[in-house]
Parts: sequence; C-alpha cells; structure tokens
Amino acid sequence: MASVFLRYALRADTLCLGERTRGGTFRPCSRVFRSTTLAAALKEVSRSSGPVYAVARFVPSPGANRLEILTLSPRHRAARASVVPLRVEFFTNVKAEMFILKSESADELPKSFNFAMGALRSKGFGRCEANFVEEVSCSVPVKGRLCVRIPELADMTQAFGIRNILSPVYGYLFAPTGLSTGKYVRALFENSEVVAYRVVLQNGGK
Amino acid sequence: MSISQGKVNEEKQDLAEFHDIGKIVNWRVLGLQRQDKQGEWEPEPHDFEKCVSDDWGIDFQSPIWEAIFRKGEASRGEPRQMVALRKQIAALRSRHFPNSARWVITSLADGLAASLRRLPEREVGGESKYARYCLWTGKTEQDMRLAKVDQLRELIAHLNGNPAWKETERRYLDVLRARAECARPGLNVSSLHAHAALAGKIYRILFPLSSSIQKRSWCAASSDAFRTRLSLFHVSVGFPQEPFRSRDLAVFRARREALEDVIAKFSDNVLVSYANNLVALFLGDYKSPPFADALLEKGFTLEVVKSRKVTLGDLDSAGIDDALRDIPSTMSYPELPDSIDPPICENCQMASGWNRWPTDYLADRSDLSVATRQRLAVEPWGTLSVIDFDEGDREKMGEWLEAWSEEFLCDRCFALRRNAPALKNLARWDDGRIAWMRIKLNLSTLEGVLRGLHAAYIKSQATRVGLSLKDMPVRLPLLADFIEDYKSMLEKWASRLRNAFGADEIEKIDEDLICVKLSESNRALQLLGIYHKLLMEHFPRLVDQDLAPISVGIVVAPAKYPFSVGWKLLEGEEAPIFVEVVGSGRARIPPSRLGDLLDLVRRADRRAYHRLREIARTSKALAELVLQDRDDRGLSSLSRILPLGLDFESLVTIANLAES
Repeated sequence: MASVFLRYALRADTLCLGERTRGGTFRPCSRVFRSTTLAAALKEVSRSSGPVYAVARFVPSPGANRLEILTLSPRHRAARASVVPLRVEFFTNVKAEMFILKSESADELPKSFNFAMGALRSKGFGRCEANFVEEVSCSVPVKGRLCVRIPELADMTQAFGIRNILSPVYGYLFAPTGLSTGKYVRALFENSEVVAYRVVLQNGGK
Repeated sequence: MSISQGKVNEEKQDLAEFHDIGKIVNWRVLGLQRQDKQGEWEPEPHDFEKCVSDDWGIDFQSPIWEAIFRKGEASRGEPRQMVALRKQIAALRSRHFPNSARWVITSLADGLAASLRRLPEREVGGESKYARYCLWTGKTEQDMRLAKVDQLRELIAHLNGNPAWKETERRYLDVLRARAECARPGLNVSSLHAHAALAGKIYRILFPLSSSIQKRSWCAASSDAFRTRLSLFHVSVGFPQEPFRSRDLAVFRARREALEDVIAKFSDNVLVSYANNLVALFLGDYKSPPFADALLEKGFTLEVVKSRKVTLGDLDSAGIDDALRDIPSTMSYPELPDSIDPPICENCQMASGWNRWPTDYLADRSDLSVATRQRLAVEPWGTLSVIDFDEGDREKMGEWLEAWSEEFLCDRCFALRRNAPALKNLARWDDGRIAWMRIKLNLSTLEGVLRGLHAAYIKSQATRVGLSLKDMPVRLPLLADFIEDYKSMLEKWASRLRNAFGADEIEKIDEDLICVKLSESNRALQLLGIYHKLLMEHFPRLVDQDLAPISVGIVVAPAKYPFSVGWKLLEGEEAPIFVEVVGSGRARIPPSRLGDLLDLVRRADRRAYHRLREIARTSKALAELVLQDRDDRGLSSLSRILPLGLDFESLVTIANLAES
C-alpha cells in the first residue's frame, strides 16, 4: 500500500540544529534534519494528539544554507556572572523541503504555517515558514543513503518505509519521555545505506 | 651446512617466498640459457633446472628447494631437452621430499599471488624485460640481476642454509625490488619482491590443506584444493569519537596500536595494510573477519568495505582484486543498547557518560591533598573556585578550572583521555593558526587508475599481448608495490614538514595526519608546495589522471577551533587537493595545475591579493568583474589562475591565504 507524504517548502532566516555542546564551548550544527526535532516542532502546530512523522532535507541553492558561527556569552543566573563564551554554529538563509506523512495529525496542519524549531529559539533562531507544495505518493522502497536522522523504532521505520538496513551508521537521538525527562534512543544517521521511501534518501534515491 | 630454520614450525616457515628466487639471476649472461638453431631463446631456467648436477652443490636438506623445484610438468610445446630436465626435477623432488605437499601449496600460493594471468612466452612475444617498469613513476628500474657464477654459487649456498625471508631480503632487497615478477614485455610492472612476500603469506594461510590434498600430480592436487572455501575482506577501522580536546586525539594512537596488534597476530592473513585499512584472506567461510571482535571490543567501528566468500579455484582465475570488485560496504559497531539513560557520553555519544571529567580524574590523583580530592568527589565542578582548595593545590587547580568545564564521559572515552600521552606541542598552541593536513589513499580509485596506466603501457610495448589484453586486471602485488611507495612518501612527508617548520611546530597525530603551527597563514601554501614536490617525486604519472587515488586536505583554523569539525571536513571531502580556510572559504585545486598555481601565487603581487580580497568582501560579482580588467596588471596576473581549473571561490581563498 502506498504512503502519501505532504511536501512543504521550508524557509528560515536562521536555523540552529544544535548537536550536543562539545568541549564545553562549541556547539556544532547538524548538517541534516532530525525527524525527532521536526516531529516535536510540528506537534505544537498540529492540534491532534497523534504522532507526526516528518523528515526534511536541504535544497542546494546559491547563497542558501550557509553555515555561520555566533559567539554567545550566556549568563549564569545564580552567580550573576558570564560563563565561558559559547560558539554556536547555525545555518542562514535556509531552503529545504519537508515531507510529512499524511495522517490524521498531519491533516490538521494548514497549507501555510509558521513554527519554531531547533536551538536558540529565545534568541530568534529557527523561525520557519512552511508552504504546501504537493502530495507525494511512495509505494516502492528503493536503495539509497539516508539524508536524515531517524530513531530505529518500529513506528518510525514503518512510516518511512525502511525495509532493509544494509549498512547502518548509528548514533543516538534524544527522545522526551515527559516534560523534563527523556532518554537517548538508537537511531539511523545520515549515510546509512537502506531500502526506504525516497523522501528520506539523498537525491531522492536517484 | 647449518639449517637455520630447522626448529621453526613447518606451518609457520618462510618457504613459498623463495619459489621464484632464481629470477634474480641473469641466466643468459651466465651461459645457462641458450638459443636454438633458429636463434630462439629457451625459457629462462630460473627454477635452477640447470643447477641439478652435484657440481652446483644444492643441499636438499633445506626445504626451500621443494618450493623452488615445485614444477615437474612440462608446458605444452617445450623443447625436448627441457621436458627431460623437468622430469629430472620431479624425480629429485620425489626422492628428497617424499610425501610432502609443500610444493603443491607453494604452487597454489604462487597462483593467488601472481600479478598477472599466466601467459606462455610465445603468446606474448617480444624481447623479455627483466627490470620492473613502475606505472606511477614512468621509470624502469636498472637490471640488477646476479650476473656472475660466484654470485649464483653464493645464492645456492644461502638457500642451502634454509634462511629466513627477512635475512634474504636484507641481502637481496634491491634486486628483488628491481626485478619484475613477470618479464613479458608490457607485463613487467610489479616487483618480484611483492609477489614473493605475498606468496609466502598465502602459503602459510593455505598450509592446513597440505594434509588433505592429493600429492601425486599437480592436476590431482589442484582439483582437490580448488574446491576449498576462502574469505576475503577489505576493512576500514574507524572510531565513533568526535575528538574536541587535544587529549582526545589519543584515539588515533589507540587505533594504531589496535591495528598493529591485529597485523602482528594475523601477520599472514593481512595481505596488505595502509592507514586504517586492511586487506585480509582467511581459509574457510567467515561472515566477518576473525579479528573483528577484538577491534569492536576496544570500541572501534569496522567498515567492511568489501568482502567475499569464494572458492580457491575462483580466486585463482579471477584474482584477489577482481573478487573484491563491486561489493557494497557494511558497518559493524561495538554492542549498542536500544536506549541510553542520560547523561550520554559527550565524546562518542554511544554509551552512558557516568564519569565526570576532569573531576573524577583529579579526585583520583595522589599529587593532590586528601581534602582537595574529597571536595572534588562531592562538589559539582561548576560551583568550585580556587579558594575552595588547600593552598598547596590552588595553583594547579586554578589551571584546571580555567581550562576545563565538566564533561560526562563513558568508561572508554574517560580511559582514553586519562591515559592519553601528552601532545606537548598541540597542547601549548593557544593562539594563532594551525593547519591540519591529511594525505589519503583511495584503493578503489587506485585500481581504476593503475588499470588505465597499465593499458597505456601495454599498448606502448606493441607486443601481441597488447592486442589480446587491453584491460589487464590490477592484482595484489601491484597494489602492494604502490602501497609501499605510498608509505615511504608519508614518512618523507613527516620528515620534510619537521625540517621546514621545526620539530616544535608540528604534531604527528597518525601516519597520514599531521598538525602544523603556522606562524603566518600563508605558510599553508608551503604545505602545498611540500606535497606537490613529494607527488612529483613518488607518483608523477598520477598528476595528470582524471581521478586521484591520492588526495590531500588542509584545514587552516584558529588554534582553538574544534578538531572534530576539521576532521569531518578532512574525512568527507573528495577533491584531490583542497584547502579549507576556516572563516574564509575553500579552494579545490586540480593536481595537474598545482605546480603552475604555486608558481603564479609566488610571483603575483601581494597588493593584488589584498585588493581582490577586499573587493570580494563587498561583492563577489564585482570581484569577478574586476579580474577581467586587463589594464590592471596585478589583478590581471591573478586572473591567469582561473584557467588552471579553479573556481572563483577557490581563487579568493588562495588569494586570502597568500595575502594574509
């Protein structure tokens, strides 16, 4: 049976898909989208309580998706002092395409909407604009390399048609289990060789 | 005569290495290879078939002679005299080595280690070429074969002593390297040394077959053996860590040590190794290489780039390299749980990070007072200040508090950081710029390039083989020769960087990765100059190839720039030559134009670089336009760089580097 994905054009002035801070002072930016980040952000837009399955990939375009570094000096509120400066990597002029699995929850999403995603949202980063483009039908999984990070959970792999994991690249993604709790779940990272729907593959599996 | 290897286990013995040792003799000059009435030369008697009389003093106590006298069956159409000689050899072997199968195993190993499909002399034609032609330098070695009777007698005496291969290499290395394994014109491209060393390894891998195979004739023996299953792997060993601290770079050393352990333990199975890659052969059916668990247990990842289970017969006809062609890669990881409760290790992000760095490390150090250590054990790192500690510890603790924020690490990453040898130079580079430089080899690309170079060489020889074998497969001895030269280039590279920049200004992280402190950013161009010179010395014929099996990456960054970000660039970039100047841009340079580029950059006007850089800062389009200004001699000289295959971003990056 074919799965249908809603394709949206995704735009943002700045986007920080922050990896965990390294060495205490540098926070690199992930070069690909995480399905967990997208799902969490879209849940806030969708009024449904059901899960949202979404992936996105950057669209190559001159001058778009350029990486820059911001130096921040966060304050330690208790000590009322600046802590060691933090350098944060982020994307500017983001152009991407987002695919949301058509479902009850996804149907709640409007044709055009704004939402916030990623790190440094309180500083104005990650304000995204999504505009519906078309419905994309996927029926036959094809072989290719992942262009996103997806938790290796049954509902996730099923949603994106991941049938065979030929050569995995593993990592862990944070999955919230409550308002202030969570755990890291094993996930398939970019460049994993899989048989899956083309929406999650580099170059659309071509 | 002493038999020096007498006590070595038979299965571990150096034996097949010697099977072609007679090829280092110039039999024609010694008058032992003759012409018939039509002027045709008889086949070279390099199996010592002309030395069987007592006068030459061959001592059959030495088992090496069984490997040399392995043939006993005449080839079709051989002169009657030769047929008689071969029968004599077979009889000698039966008499001196009854019931032994070492000659069979040697012949099997010889076939698998051959650089080329065997071709009868008359099928190839042309005058034999005994010196090796090097495909990547375009030079032919000197013919260094032994050309005196005394030298031949010395060689026989040496072999009579059942020497170890290492001892033989010490004595005859130059001639072994200079002599081609196959002397057919056009096919004289790999060294006898590589072929012999590989045959020795494969002999020991196959040795367990000796008890089960028929020994009466080669036909019976080989039909048995050819059904044997073998497993072949090309693996690349990686690590999940993303090193940020100089201490974390210890993972490179840990990987090198783990690889050296594998190479020592599986010294015969590992046929070829370079950087973090191993090509290994095992007797039997294996899903993964037998050394995989040892590497995974140490926390390394294993990419099986290619693997194949195959019969010996198939491998004999296809060749080891062809057997590994077009196989998809798979990744193996250390055991990974489905989920991990926080905190996760901040370094590898693959395990729980229950160890606090540097708190737990310092709390364990005996050079700190008990009170200091107790405080470290209970107080969160972020709340500590120097005055919390005993006076005697304050200076030391002050340094730690200034340099580190608390990080959570798994046991493995904590141990790596705790036991890390000091990278003294790197640790003291706090300011200014450094360059990370890495030279990489891509084996798959190399195979394609060598195939093309070989086809061109065969064509240039205008022999019959040129007509019938336009596309000769590249086999393992040729790759082994190449890798030996590649390793030698890496050694020279490290030594030249040391000479050019000073021992205090470089840090060798791995055999293919070096960090250099740059007193000025434009010295990165000197790194390119050193690389270019090495490339021209060792691999000049590769420079003009469309694909580059050897590539170099240089990342110029502030000293405090996180290593793992630069490392990802060095790992991921596929351009043959690239320079990333953090905060400035990236240059990709075609190898064929590197020399011209460096020359132009040296001669160009520094003010022109400055102007171009400043204009490009405002508008790249404007900068592209002003480059066309023929009235401006400075900029016009820079514009000559563009036709060298660089894009505009590359030019501006080079200009930035040269001007800075």
